[in-house]
Amino acid sequence: MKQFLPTIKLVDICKKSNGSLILKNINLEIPNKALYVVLGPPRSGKSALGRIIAGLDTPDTGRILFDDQDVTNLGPVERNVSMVFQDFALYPHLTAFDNIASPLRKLKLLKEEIRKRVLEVAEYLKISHRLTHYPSELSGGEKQRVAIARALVKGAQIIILDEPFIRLDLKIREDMRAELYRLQKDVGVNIILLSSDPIDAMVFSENIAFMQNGEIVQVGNLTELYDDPKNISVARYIGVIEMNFIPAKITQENNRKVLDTEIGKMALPTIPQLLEDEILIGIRPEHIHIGEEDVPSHAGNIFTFEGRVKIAEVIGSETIVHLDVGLAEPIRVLVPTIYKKNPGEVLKATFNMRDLYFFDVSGRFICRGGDILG
Amino acid sequence: MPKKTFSPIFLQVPITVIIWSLVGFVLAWLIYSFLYSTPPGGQPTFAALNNIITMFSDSRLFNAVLRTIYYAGVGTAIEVLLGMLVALALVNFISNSTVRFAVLMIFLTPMALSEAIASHTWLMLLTPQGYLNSILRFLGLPAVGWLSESMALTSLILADVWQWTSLPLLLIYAARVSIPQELYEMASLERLSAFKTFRVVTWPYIRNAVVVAALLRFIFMYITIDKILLITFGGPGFATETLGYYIWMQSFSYRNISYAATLSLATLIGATIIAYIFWRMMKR
Amino acid sequence: MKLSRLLGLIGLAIFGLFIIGPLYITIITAIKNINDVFTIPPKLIPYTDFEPSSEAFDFIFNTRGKYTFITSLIVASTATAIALIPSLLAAYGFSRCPKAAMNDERSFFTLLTLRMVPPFAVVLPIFLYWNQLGLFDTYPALIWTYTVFSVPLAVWLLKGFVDEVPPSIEDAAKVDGYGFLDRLRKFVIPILGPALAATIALVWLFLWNEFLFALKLGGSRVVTYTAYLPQLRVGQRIQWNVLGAIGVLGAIPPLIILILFRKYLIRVYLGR
Repeated sequence: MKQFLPTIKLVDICKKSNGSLILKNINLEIPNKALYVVLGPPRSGKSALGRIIAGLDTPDTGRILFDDQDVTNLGPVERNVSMVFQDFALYPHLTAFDNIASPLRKLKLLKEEIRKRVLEVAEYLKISHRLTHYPSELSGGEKQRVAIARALVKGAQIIILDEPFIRLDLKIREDMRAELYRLQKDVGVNIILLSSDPIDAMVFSENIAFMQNGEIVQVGNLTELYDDPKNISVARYIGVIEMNFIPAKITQENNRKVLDTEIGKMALPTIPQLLEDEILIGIRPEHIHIGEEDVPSHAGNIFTFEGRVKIAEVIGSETIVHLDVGLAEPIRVLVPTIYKKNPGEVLKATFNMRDLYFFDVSGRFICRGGDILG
Repeated sequence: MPKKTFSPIFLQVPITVIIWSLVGFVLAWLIYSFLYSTPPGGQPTFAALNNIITMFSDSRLFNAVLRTIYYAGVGTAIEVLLGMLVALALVNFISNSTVRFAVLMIFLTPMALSEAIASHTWLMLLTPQGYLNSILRFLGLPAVGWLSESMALTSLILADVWQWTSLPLLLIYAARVSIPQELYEMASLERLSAFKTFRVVTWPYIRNAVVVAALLRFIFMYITIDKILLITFGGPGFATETLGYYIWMQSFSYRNISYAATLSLATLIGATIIAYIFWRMMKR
Repeated sequence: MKLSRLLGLIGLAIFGLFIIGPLYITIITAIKNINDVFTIPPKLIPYTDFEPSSEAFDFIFNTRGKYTFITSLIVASTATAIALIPSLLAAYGFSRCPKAAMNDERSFFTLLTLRMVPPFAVVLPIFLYWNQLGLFDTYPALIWTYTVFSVPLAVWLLKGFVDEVPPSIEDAAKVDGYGFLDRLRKFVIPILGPALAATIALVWLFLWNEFLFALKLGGSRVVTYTAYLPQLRVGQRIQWNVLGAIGVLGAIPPLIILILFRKYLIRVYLGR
């Protein structure tokens, strides 16, 4: 299996479906030998993009280049691309063995050769013992492995996985992520993972493209998307629990500019110049602390507020406390321990203003608190 | 796939060829024969106006159409109503689903038979010396003129009900069986009467099936003249002459080719309109 | 037992009798001697009221009667076979390419209309058509007419079934390198499997039962069992028992199909 791993370049890709644009001017460069995550909410165009990279659909405008070779008019076989589908798309009338062998049969290899390769891949994905079974007899995880085996067996340069874990149990998802990682390292193939699950982005953190409404919003690694999100959507999506948003008005007080919010007034040395006098503050649940006594250093940057406990959800070894502060939604706080509190109780919460995210009213990212406070 | 190998139009070419090999001629012929009449050994003359005038002043045609509406209307109503009652009774009163299915299969049998077979079966029953009268007379009752002028149409409806009630029965049964049991449990918790339960729980689910069944049966009842051809021959008198049978008579007995074509064309236009209505209802 | 349940069961039983009655009558008529058919009191129970006789069936098998069944078989089977692949292709088009020309809703509607065409409105032109071609009373005429009329039903059924094959399976096959015909042959058709069989059976049944065209397009050479029936009523003495026997024989294939494909019955009329 000769590996020739190209970089993928998408140039000005547009695609219409049912009269509306589902891909709007996509320009993307996907490095080779990488596990690339395309993250985005449902209906953001991920699947459409995946199909175009695979060669199942043609874009209305634009080109696709594999290492400077224009492959726009080539099919999946000529592009040497494989795909793993959301519903696994295993052939129900064939055994697992025949499913995996299917791409090879088209290549007109000898029976012996086919058998050898199928067994090799099955061994690697640990499903050798299930090869004689039919898809209906396999568990979700096993089906997934067969689908991946089928994608691997023909030695494709690029494997695209379209929401591969969405139908699997949480525990199995963890196993499969590990498998994918192992796969990428061992076989060295290009993997493109289309996902709506932010956890996938957090696990495979090096190459992420965030997509929304048919556009690529931001490209980078996890830290970049976490610390410097381009807009609210990115900020919301990346993160175990959704970010909290607090609207604020910029007002004058004692000749200083102050941010007036429901949870209190925040004083900052400078406040970015904006057209409107409204701003949206974001603070992640994991950056809010409950019940700590005054922190000695950086005391000037600590902001304290109070809230009434709406509910405290214990999940595993952590707790999400929902605090009512008079906003439309309660503020979510992630407490790293098991923290049981009764509804109605009033708690004090603090955060460091350096951890704040500032967005303008249209959702665009302005800067972090740390950028202002130094 | 990027390389356009062929257009999906080619998928439709084979059936289009098959269908048009006949349909083309049929339509052309009907229109031509409506427009022009050719008496045997004579010249084609323009007949369209005559045909239209005749059609609108043909009282026999008018009666035939009325009879058709009556026949199809009453038949459909009975079949749908009866089918619904039986479907609901099956579900309500037979709890064992295997038994239920077996009984359903038996009920479906007449539907699987040819109209020709069903017609002769009923001929055996309805004919003056047939089984129904034999049984009546055996019981000391007077024989009934099943195929007499007053009763023939009703007897035909009876035969059709026998054969086709199972279609609405099947459709409504399938719909009824798809209703989640919890809804009925909730209804009984709220102590709803049987009638109310039907209106609130059952009907919304089976309504579509009822409408589809009614449309299908109505359409197929006015389309089919097999039973009339085989049992009553349109009579006695004109008692069982439906639109279809009248056209048949014009075509093959009276050989009024041009007029028959006119009527056929009119019927086809009507059929297209009805099919359109059916299509719109199915899309909902 | 509750009163309502008892009444309900009695109602069902009455309906059951209503359904089975005429069937039973047909069967016993088929095994009667012609003199036993219409008597007063009616002879309804074999061996008690009358001696079963094979007279009717003998008649069928000793005369051209048996050939009529063969004719029906040939005609129905051939027409179904010819219509099958074109219908499958069209159904595939309607299902997978609903935006393409000739595959869209309007075209599908046109096909639907064909199903609802009254045969009596087109028998005459079709009869004249074949007559002009010198093909009156020939197999090709009836077979081809049947082929044309079975297409709408076949496409209607198949489209619903193709709809149920997930498109992702075909995508996977495309990625694996299979072209259109290969995909159809190796994936779509095997997955359709029993649904395809059910469609074939139901279309065949429709043709096996057909009467009107068989009557008018056939003559003395091409006689289906349905067209044969009225021929037994010519003359003074109607051969009722033979009529019954033909009914019994003609009912066998429908009943077998009913039992084998019971699960697909509902789909016929819902087309879903």
